[in-house]
Amino acid sequence: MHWLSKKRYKIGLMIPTLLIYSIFIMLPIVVAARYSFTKYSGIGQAKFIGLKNYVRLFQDEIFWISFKNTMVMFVLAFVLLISLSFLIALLLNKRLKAVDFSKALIFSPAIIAPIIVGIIWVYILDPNIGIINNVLDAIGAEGLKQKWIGGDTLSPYSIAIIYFWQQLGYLVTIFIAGLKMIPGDVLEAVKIDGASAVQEVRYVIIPMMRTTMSTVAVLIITGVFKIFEIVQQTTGGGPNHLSETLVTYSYSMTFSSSDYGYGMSLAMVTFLLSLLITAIYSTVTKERER
Amino acid sequence: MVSKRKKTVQYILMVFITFMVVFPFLWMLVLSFKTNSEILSSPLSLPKTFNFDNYRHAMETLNFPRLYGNTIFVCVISLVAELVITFCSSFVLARMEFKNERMRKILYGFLIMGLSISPFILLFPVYKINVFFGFRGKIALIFPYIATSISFNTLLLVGYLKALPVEIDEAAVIDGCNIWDLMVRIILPMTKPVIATVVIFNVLYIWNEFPFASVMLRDVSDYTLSMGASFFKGTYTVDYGGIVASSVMIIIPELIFYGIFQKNIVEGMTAGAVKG
Amino acid sequence: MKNKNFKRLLSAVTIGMMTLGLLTGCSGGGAEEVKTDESGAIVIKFGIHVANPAEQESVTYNIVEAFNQANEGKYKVEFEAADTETHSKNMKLKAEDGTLPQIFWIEGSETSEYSEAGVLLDLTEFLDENADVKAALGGMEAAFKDDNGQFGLPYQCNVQGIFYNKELFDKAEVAYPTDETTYEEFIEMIGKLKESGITPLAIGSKNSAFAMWEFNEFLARYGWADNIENILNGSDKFNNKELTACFEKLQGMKDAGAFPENMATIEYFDAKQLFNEGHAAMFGTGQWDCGEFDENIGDKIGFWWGPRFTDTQSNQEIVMKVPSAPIGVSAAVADDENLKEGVYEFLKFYYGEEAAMISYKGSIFPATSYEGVTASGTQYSMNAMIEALANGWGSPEAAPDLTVSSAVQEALYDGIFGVLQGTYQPTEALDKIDAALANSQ
Repeated sequence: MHWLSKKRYKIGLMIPTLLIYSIFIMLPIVVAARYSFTKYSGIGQAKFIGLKNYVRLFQDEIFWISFKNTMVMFVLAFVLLISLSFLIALLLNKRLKAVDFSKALIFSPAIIAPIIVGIIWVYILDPNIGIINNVLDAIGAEGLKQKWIGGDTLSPYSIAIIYFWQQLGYLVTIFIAGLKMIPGDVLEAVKIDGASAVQEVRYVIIPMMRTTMSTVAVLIITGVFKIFEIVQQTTGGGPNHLSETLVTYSYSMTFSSSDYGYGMSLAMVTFLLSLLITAIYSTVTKERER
Repeated sequence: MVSKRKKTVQYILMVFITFMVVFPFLWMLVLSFKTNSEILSSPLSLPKTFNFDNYRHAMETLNFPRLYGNTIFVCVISLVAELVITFCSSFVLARMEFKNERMRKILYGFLIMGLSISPFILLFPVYKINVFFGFRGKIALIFPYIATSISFNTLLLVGYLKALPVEIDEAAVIDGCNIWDLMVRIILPMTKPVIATVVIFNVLYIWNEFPFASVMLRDVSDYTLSMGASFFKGTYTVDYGGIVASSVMIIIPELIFYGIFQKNIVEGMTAGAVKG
Repeated sequence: MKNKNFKRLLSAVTIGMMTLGLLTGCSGGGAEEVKTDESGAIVIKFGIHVANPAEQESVTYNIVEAFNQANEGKYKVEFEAADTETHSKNMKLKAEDGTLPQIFWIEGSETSEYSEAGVLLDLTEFLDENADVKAALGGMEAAFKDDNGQFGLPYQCNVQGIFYNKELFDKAEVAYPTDETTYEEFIEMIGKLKESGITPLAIGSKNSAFAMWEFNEFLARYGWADNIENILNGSDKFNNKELTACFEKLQGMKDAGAFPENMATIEYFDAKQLFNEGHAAMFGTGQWDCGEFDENIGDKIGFWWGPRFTDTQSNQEIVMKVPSAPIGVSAAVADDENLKEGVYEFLKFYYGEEAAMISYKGSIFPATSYEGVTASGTQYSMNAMIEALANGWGSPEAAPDLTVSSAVQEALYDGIFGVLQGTYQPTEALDKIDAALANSQ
């Protein structure tokens, strides 16, 4: 649309977004990045200490534990969310009775305050008072009882499941919006050609949903690296930082330990890691498209 | 016959999934009728008596009309502003020509990058920026909220705007549309489903946002809904009953709101169906 | 063409700026100057660490109400209230931009940060002018004095130790603990209580790893006060003989099964509930829970400082009656005589006899002591504490966990809970505290 793509239109339409974004997102990141090279408690004078925080970070055992936990959550949540939310969206896109009601209900976890999410899931997963272990007890399957949270191994998996539960409704909504964008006559044509449901999904819907897929993927990737409240509310990162994620660990360093400088270096690494994975994802999918 | 069986399977699946997902939520409703000590000591049992004490207490402790008022005020201003500006910028990124294609990619990447940022990194710097501009109280929340929505909105809007066929623009221009007509009269109606999605997400984000609200608001009279829970959790005491009841009261409008806009997603499509 | 672009850009920026200006205008209000309310009273802001002071810090709320009533039209103290985590963040931000409330509660381990930043008023002058307050504080204020002077005053006085439920002890046929009870006897006691089917000592570590008040006594009885200075200046380490022995005792309690199995997933509040409901025999805390115990346990409550240790030379006759985190006064108050006078008036009231009475009524030990001001007969928990205090033993100047910086404090909590949960060995935990200290320097 050459004649509409005048430079002044472009600039005029872009400026407000760029201005606000630069001032309230990018500038703070630069400020935070600068603090990551200092020793700073949050008040008083920040002392420049070069790369010391970063050196410390790579030798910090808890950093690696948080890193591992974050990656576990990432893989698990990614696989579960992208596949199941797509399938559920397909189901809910059908003309079924009460489907709107069901959509609203599936969406409901996304809007429960995090503190409540914590309370609810603790009562489900807690090794002593939680439903799961109590049910296992009742049916005589004591052998299957686990420390779902609060032990030293399973917490990140459980947290990924909670995250899955919380995000499902969001992603289903996005997928449904994507499905609605597929022109109805395309689907009709496919039907007339006698394609099976599986074929329809495989050869028509998925290719037409490419943008939606990558939107959802980017949201999951960046979302996992921001999981915070669920961890705070179910395990608080404990016991002894064993279930800490990168974000919760950097939060605890920044605010509980008053080590703003070190906390920000952790936050910067988390930020870069999340960018990196997003970038890798988009390169890989682009290549496949070719 | 086969199709009927298929329908039944679909129904069973739908009900099953819905129940699994919604179970914890229903349980929260149950919890809201239990006393604080019942919640703590026998979390799994049903409430002994069906009483509204928690709700009464929540109403007494929190000034709900004011909390709703503040939240809606911040929400409406931020929402209108962020929708307008991100629709414009996304339109540029998705549908306009760039001499240098890399420029488009760089701008897009730059705007998307914000998704990777967890909000607490921004807290201290944004506070200082607000002080610099002299923003106080509720106003101090508006720009951070607009800013944090930009990445998400760009991701969604650019994605969908790109998916619309180029022929639409060409046809519009031949019909003598200027850029304003094209954007508002032609493209906007077609993007109704995605706009509805964006509205839902933006509103819910603001509705539940806590970190910025807790740091930027100093006057109780400016508090937004998300600050409610902190009224029930002190250093040495916690009132789970109050937290649960107040959350239910915060959630219900959200669910209704979601219901309305979710319908819009569907209707939007029939109204502006894309005929290639 | 170029020109047009420039014009367009300029107008966009102008519109942007105008919007900003407009919004700023709406929000109104100038800098933090002295404010007065409708009646002309000088407004004094009090930054407090709970969101809902009327319910969550009712004693302070009542004192402030009483002060406001007595000074109607002259002074008015208003709370700036937020939950502890938010409050800590906010105070730091406000210290930076010079909008601190006149009086504010400071996280114990962060006091030195504030003091070094020079944002706090030296209260030496106030104490000199008010000899009666100084006498009533009786040295409690010493913990908040450094090279910059008297940077804070104790908010309240914390008496910390282990509360126990006499009924549960009777049922398990275990004798009540006394000042003479040794650690070995304590372990035996834990075993018997556990056999009777209850949790011996309730504790929860999720989001409340600070809930370790009973272990301050352990640290103190392993010579914390004598050694901490050397540890902090580098001539000794946390991983020393005394503290290793101390942490081994924590491990011993864990091995004896003293704690709830799910301590990692329950919070301080849940642990307290176990004690309130009679599912746990003991609970370590401070006087702030007295009201709750009176309601739930009544006269069956007992209070104990903790066990005696026989494998150390350090003084065992130590109790834990220590200043809580301090309140500080913003240095900016000094710029306005009237305001300063108001703040001094309030402090005089806050540390006066009437406030002390309000405090006891609400089952909180005030930082001050006045003759004849004490708890009433039905305040069972409070009286159990007062009884325990009657042994006349000395108390450290400050609780051990409040003598170190935030980073070390966090590591200390981590270390203690790591040992209690079995994730760390005692020396491993102490090494981590040493590492945190090294990193913070």
